[in-house]
Amino acid sequence: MLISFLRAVILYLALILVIRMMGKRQIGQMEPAEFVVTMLIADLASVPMQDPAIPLLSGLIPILVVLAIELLLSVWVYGSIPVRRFFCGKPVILVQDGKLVARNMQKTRVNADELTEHLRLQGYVDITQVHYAILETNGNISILPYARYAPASAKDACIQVDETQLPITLISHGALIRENLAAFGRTRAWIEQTLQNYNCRVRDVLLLTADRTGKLYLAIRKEETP
Amino acid sequence: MKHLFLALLILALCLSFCLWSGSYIRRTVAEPLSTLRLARTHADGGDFDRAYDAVEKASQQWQRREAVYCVLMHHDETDGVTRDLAVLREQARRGEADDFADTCAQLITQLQHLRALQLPSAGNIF
Repeated sequence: MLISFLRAVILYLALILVIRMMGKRQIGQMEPAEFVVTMLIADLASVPMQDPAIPLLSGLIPILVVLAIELLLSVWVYGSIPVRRFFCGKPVILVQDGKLVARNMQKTRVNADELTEHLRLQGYVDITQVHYAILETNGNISILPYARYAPASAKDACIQVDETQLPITLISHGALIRENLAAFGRTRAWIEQTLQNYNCRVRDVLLLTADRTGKLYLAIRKEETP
Repeated sequence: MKHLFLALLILALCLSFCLWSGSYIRRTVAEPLSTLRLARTHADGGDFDRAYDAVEKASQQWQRREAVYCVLMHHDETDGVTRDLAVLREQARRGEADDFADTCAQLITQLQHLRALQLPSAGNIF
């Protein structure tokens, strides 16, 4: 039992490392090949995890080989359009100018019920409002509505709005993030002085963010402060 | 480029390790295999004392590397060889000619099979 425990820990850590090395794409929306690789790696890890008679390397070596091939393939796909088309396919237009493109729906085997469901989930119940609906290579359907049916932006309404700033995390779970502090052009002394105004210290802070306009967000570990 | 080098490095390391592993098993398993063949020759000649000594030597040769074999091979296979060596030793000690011949033949076949499994032949791959 202890052996199973230790194997599970080792294989889990190895899997995390492998998924991490594959990059953020593996965790987010997956292409077909990436989905296959993820399933394959999970299966390869589960076999030695379940059977202590199988050497651990019998699982780890194939996992590493699959990782290496996936990395090589991703570099190749990145650099070559024909290869990309072969492995990932092409986006396909399913709705154009408010009308269903039946030929493409048949080619991709997306029926009308599925398509209208996707449209409704994104807030479009009337197909005539959709300029383009595109089946992406990862299986998602992107929708570009006609401009008159799209949500109005501040520009459309001629409203002057301030640019939103990207907040930078300065403290997270009581720990000061020095590189962000340096990038923000502030010092620890400034942080401590700022926190004194809220009667707390660095280690009491759950989250402190700041943006370029000087707007702060502070959440204290025991209670939140807006 | 970083990913390319990383992928090639991982492939190279895995391939090198697999080649070394196969070569190591073929080379080291050959030792107890040839010793067992010698034991069979002695037993066929009726000299079970020498047969016992040869089996004992084969056991030591196997046990010396058993930990490494367990990392590289399926444990059922390695446990099977260890078990059969113990049985063979007993049979040699008691001078059981027929049983010794059967067990020895089985063990020799097992060790030959372990060596053959390391070769990238069509039968092994498919």
